[in-house]
Amino acid sequence: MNLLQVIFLSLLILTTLFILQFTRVVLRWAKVRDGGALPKLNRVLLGRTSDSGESANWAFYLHRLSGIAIALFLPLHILDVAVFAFIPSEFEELHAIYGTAPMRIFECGLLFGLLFHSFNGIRIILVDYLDLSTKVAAQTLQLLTLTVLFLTAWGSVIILGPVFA
Amino acid sequence: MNNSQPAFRISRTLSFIVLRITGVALAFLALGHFFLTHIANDVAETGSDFILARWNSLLWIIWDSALLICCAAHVAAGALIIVYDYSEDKAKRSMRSNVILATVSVFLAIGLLTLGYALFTIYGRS
Repeated sequence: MNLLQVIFLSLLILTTLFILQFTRVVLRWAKVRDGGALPKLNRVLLGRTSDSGESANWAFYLHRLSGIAIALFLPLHILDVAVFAFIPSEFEELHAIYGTAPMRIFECGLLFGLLFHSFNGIRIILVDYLDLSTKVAAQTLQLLTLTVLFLTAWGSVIILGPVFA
Repeated sequence: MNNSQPAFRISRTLSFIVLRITGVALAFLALGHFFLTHIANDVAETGSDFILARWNSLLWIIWDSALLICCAAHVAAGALIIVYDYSEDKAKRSMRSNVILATVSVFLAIGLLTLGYALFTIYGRS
């Protein structure tokens, strides 16, 4: 491994730690504010109750967490393209990291985050402007969940394909 | 003593508007970018040659610039809303807002310099 690869991997590990830390912060505030990100699960499994009922809180928190995760990955991506521009001789070796098996698994997670965040963002806008009822909004979320899971599975097969080839 | 102020005052309303407008754009730009570099092409083949070939076309230069700028705006606005939500007091809120705006500005600058310099090396040597 050369120096740039070591720096890239260190930053990737740092990024992952940041994502975990922010996940803890968001989940802690969720507990303080409205009985946790998954009030229904908490009630069933742990006997906890919440004041806010059991609306689709999880989608709000997954939106926030996927946004944070994608945002924290972006500096890495900006830096590796900067290497392409300013130190072109080093770029091919650095870019090879993206083709390794662990990084491909990370990319599948990124695909899930991007799909959920994009589709849920558009869903929120539609629910707002079309003034959809709570019931219809919940149905759009179910449809979205299925679509995102299906597309993530399809994309992951393609992304992970070369690992098993 | 405790009179720290944010360098720029950005209201929740402005953050909200920026989030929605750039969000709709990013749904196409970011998903399109990921599809091109991970699904339509294998990521192992998106090295220097791939980037050079792509930046020979004005469409992709505009695409990547728009993606970079929209990402920066979306991240800044989203992070500010999270900070407004979770900060216990005004001093922490101001400090965190400043850190976010400074960090996003630095990476936006690196990104724009990268694009500018790469385009200069591709087109500037004719």
